[in-house]
Amino acid sequence: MSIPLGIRIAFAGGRESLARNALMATGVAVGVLLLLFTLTAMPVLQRHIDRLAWHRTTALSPPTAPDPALWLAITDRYAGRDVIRVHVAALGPRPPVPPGVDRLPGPGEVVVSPALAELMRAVPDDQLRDRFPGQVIGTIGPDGLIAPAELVGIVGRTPEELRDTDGAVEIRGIEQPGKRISLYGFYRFLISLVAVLIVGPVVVFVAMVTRVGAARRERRFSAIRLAGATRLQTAALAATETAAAAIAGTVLGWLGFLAARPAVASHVTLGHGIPIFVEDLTAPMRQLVLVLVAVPVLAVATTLVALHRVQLSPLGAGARARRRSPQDWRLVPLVAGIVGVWWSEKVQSDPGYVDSTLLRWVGNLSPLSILVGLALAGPLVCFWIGRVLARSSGRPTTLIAARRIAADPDTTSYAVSGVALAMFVATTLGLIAAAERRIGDDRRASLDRGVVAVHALGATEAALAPLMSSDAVVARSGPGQLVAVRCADLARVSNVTCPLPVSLDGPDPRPATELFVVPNLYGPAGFIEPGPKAASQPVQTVFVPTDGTRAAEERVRTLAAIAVPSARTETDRELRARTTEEFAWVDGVLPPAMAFVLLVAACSLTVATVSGLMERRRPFALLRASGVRLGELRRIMLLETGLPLVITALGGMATATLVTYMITPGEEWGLPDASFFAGLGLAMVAALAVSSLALPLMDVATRHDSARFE
Amino acid sequence: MSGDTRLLTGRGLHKSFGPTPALRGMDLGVDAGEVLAVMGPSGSGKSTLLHCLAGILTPDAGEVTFDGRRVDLMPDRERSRLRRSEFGFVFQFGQLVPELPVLENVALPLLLGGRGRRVAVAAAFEWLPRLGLDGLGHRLPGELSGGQGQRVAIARALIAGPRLVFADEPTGSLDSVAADDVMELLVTAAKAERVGVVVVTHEPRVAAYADRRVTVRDGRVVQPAAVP
Repeated sequence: MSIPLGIRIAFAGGRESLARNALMATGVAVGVLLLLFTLTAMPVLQRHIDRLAWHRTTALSPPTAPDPALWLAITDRYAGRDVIRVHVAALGPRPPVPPGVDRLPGPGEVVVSPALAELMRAVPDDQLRDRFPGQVIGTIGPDGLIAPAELVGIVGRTPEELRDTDGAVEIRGIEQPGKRISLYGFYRFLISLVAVLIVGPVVVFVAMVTRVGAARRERRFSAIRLAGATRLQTAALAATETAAAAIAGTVLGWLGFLAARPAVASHVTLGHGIPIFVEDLTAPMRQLVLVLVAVPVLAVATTLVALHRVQLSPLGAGARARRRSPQDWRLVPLVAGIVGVWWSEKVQSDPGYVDSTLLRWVGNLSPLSILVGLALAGPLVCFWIGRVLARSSGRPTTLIAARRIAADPDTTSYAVSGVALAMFVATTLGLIAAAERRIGDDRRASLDRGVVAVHALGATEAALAPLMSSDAVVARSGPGQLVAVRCADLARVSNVTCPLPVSLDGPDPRPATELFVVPNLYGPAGFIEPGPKAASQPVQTVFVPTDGTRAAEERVRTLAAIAVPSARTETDRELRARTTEEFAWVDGVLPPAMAFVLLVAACSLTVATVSGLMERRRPFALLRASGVRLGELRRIMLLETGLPLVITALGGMATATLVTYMITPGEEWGLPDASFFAGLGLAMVAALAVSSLALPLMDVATRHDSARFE
Repeated sequence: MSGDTRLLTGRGLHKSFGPTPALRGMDLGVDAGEVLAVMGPSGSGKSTLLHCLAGILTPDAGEVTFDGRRVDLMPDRERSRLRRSEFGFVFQFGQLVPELPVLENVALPLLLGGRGRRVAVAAAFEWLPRLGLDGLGHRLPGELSGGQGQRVAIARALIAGPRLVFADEPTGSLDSVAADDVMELLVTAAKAERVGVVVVTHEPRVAAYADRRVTVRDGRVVQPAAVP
């Protein structure tokens, strides 16, 4: 009986019922959509690692074929993009074969990715095509690519050619997918924290949506209780009503997720600058089912908790007890978290400190305590805002807003907590990134414009002859990872200052280090001036000046790839970008993550504003009927959301600044540039603007016919 | 009062809301088929008395007996059943479900009691003409006048065949003509169905419809009196 009656009650109230349920379903849909995309994060990374597996092939990779092969994989570049070039030579009829191809290309044969094939056709051969000697006999399928637009080519060589090539190794198998993402310590904690940060506001949002029309619902169910419904029947009615909208919203959200995947995938680049495969953006089945079940359950549970007071008495809202004011204990987790961060930093900054379990626990739990503390402190802060505003207000509209905030600080806090948390996270990450960049700036070296660094790693001078012009600067390998180079020559192609450091063991490595670093392969220990026998030492790096055009730079790269297949090259632009790339996660992850959290927060705020208006349309209509201007009613709504929003957001930013100040060494501490704060301000204004979309509703909701509604 | 026909009895009822006492040892009995008016000024405790007698509130002390059963000791489920099948309610406002049309509002006690929708609605349909609600079955409560809304509430209160109807200021929001109309219908229908009525009011003209009147003040019955 209860289920059909619940559905009947949910949808029988005409347009208002439909609007309320549509709002709830839409809100749940948005929540499900966001949650599902959040759940794709780890699978996307895992799939990425799986796709990358064959690029990690080494001599130690487990056997996958009866016969061995020679293998040389190089990460080359073209126009700032990675180009993976793999030289292979089969040492038998059944060699290991990478994914995405049917067989290993033979000598003189080349297979390339579709994107590389297209690029090869578009640019002159001496800038790219010549790096892949041989005839292109096919393309690499999706299984062999990390992204649809990846640039990768496999060059077939003779065993003799590769045996003499520096860096080539004999392999017995291709590295297989399956290596799990293993995040330890800080990173695991960071990921958990980010997950909580993203999922938290979504859960708050779903809970907020299910409270739409809560007061009317309470009255309705108290009337039904009066007519003889038991607690169980009332709960079943409420559950049915919410579940109907929540299930519809969940299905909508799922469909929306499926529909939005291509658009989202086209913007996910994982640091490579190229979008991932759409099929990689998949929520794991178990978690997908969990969300599809848990969201309606959460919605129903929230409704039942909200109805608790009605279940106590058929007099319902009329007998509702006055809410208890938030207590001061709500500040304890926040203060404890801040003290925990301060203590762990203080202990670790002591030169004689010893790591301990307690220290690790405090270090890990303190940030979480701060986050929980921010959420818990919200109602208390809103309560204070309401009281202070009430004492200082001279206008009735301000007084009404103040009393409303003070009377129900929980709801106000729920509405704005998403924005406050977003501001806390954004400020923390922004300040950490600013400190890191400050370190990076101090250590940055740069090549002069147009100079290409060719890291030849022990190649003979004869092999490098095509690159040797009179302007080229040659640095040679010295003993003990020292680089032998004339400082004056190096200064001719870069910004280094002489003399170069003999050793880099000191606390302040000189910028020249950067010019010789081959990521994951080589980093110099120091520099010596070339001696009389320097010419006989193997070449380390050749700096080749060009006219600075991309064509000239790519021609140098192509020459280097032909002369020394294992050579790595870097242009002045790429060297500069290397420092920037270290912070790409901040530039790449922060804006979309913040946009996501702010979007959710703005949605919560909007729902809360609309919900608050719908709940009080009758008193608002009566106020208007008795002569209060529409603008003044809108001012009440704006004050109720805007003031707590701004103050709690500023509180979040202040907390972030305090925490970051405590964990950042003094010399690295600094504020981000003005554009960062301008961005945060804009975000806050945007959140307010989104929520103010509800303001025009005030006119419709408070027309005189609303005064006798019900 | 005649003990043989006594349907509902409240003895020594005490009820406080925080530090504020609402009932201070109230005694009251209702006979089967009797129309009893409980009068008194605002804040005298008459609504609290009604809520305690109807099992909506549990008294802090004292006992409420309905047909030999202790209402104040009943679990919530049992009291819900009592409200659904033995009692009916007509309040000043807030008793109709705004989302349900008139027919379904009237049929609600039957639906909650497990009757099929078709049967319940058919029963509700029969009640509409008796209360002058012809043609209003598909309207929502928000589309009715105050008097019409109260007549719907009366129909709902009587549809399950209760033995007692509790009416708390049933005409409080109506003009005198509509108030007379509602009281006339309530008392006539109740008499026809042999249903007792406890009506709480501060209006003498409403109390005049009762067989018996009591006056309460400061949580006590101060004037039990038989209607002439």
